[in-house]
Amino acid sequence: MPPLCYNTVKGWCIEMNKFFENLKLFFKGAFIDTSHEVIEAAANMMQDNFMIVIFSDFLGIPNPLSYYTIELLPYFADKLPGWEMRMSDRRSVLAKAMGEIGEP
Amino acid sequence: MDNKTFFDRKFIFLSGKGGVGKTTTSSSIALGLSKLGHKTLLISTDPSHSIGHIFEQPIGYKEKPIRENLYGIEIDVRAESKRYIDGILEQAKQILSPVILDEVRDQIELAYHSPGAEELALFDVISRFFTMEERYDNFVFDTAPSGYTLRLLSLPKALNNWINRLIKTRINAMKVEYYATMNPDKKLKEKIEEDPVLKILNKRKAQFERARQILLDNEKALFMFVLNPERLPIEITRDSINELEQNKIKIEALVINKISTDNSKRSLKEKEYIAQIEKEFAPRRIFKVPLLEEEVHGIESIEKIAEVLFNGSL
Repeated sequence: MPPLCYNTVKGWCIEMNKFFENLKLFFKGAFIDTSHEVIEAAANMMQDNFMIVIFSDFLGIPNPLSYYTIELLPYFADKLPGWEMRMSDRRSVLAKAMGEIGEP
Repeated sequence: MDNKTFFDRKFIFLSGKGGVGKTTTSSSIALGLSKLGHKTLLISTDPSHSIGHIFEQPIGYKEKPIRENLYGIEIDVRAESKRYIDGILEQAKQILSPVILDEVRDQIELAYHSPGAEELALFDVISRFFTMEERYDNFVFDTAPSGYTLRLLSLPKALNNWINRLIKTRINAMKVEYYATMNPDKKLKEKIEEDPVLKILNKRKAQFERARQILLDNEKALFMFVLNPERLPIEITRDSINELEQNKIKIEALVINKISTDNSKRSLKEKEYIAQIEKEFAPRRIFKVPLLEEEVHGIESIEKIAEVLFNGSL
C-alpha cells in the first residue's frame, strides 16, 4: 500500500500510516477472519461429505464401487482418522473436536 | 441378413452358464470371421484358459497370432486385479508418510476382496479393448459365467449419474477450500486441472461413457447366449435375458449347443426343448450346433462348428 500522505510533517505521517494499518488489521480480524473460519468449516464439511460417498464402506455402509474408489484413498489417507472420528457421531461437538485435533 | 453380416459386429459377447460351451462357440465365431478376411481378436477371460487347448498352442496374456487374421489373448482377471491394487499401493507409498501408509495398507489390500471386485476387474479388462477399436475388425469375448457378467453390464447407466455427481461435489469442495485459503499458491482453474482425484474420476467417467456407447449400440455390439437343450439352462437363459433387456442390452441370438444326433430317448426330449426355445425366444436368431462325435479339440472341430454357425450346415 502506498503511503497516504507525502507532503506533510514526517512524524505525523508515520503516525497516520500506523493508525490506518491498525484500522485495517482490526477490520480484517473482525470481519474477514471470522468469515474465513466459516468458509473453512464449510470446506471441511464438503470434503467430509465427499469422503462419505467414496469411502462409505469404512463406516459400514456398503459401497458397490469400493474397488474403484480405493484408488482415491492415497489422496485422502492423512484425513482419514479424523474423518472417521467425526463421522462416528456427526452431532457430537466432542467427536468433531477430537476429529479435528486428535484424541487427548 | 445372412449369418456372415450378422456376425460382423465390432464386439461380440457370449454369455451363458459355465460349461455350456462359450469358449468353443466364441472360438468358432472368431475363426469364422477370420476366414472371411476380418482381422479378429479372440479374448478369453476364462480362468482355465481353454483357447490355448482348442487351438493347440500356448496363448498368453499378450495378443498372439494363432493363424491368418486370427489373434488370441488369455487374460487372468485376478492377476489384473492384483496389478491394479499394487499400483494403488505404489502411489500411496510415494505420497504418504510411512506411519499413515501403515494404517491404510490393509484397507487397500482388502479392496482385492471387496464386493464386486471381480466383476469390476473384468469390466476394466473388457473396457481396455474399447479403446483400441481400430486395431481389429472384430473382437470376440468369451465372458465369465453369467451372474458376474449380468451385474457388470447393468452398471454403466447408474455409474454415470453417480460419477457426475461426485465430480461436481469435488469441484465445489475445491472452490470453497480455495476461497478459505488466504494466499493460494495457484489459480483455482489450475488446481482443478491438476487435481489427481478429479483425474481419476474423469478417467472412470470416460471409461463408463465409452462402455455405455458401445454396449447399447446394436451395430457395434452383439450379445449372444449359449445354452444346451435342457430344462435348467433354458430357465437361466430366460431370467438372464430379462435382466439384461431391462438394462437395454439386446440379446440377438441364442446358440443351442451340444445337440444329440442319435435317436435316443434323450434326443427326443431335446427336440421338445429346442421347439420350446425356438418358440419362446423368437424372433431372435437361433443357431443349432450338434454334439460332435469327437471331443472338441483342435482346429478341425472348431472349423466344423464355424461352418454350422456361418453357413447353417455341417
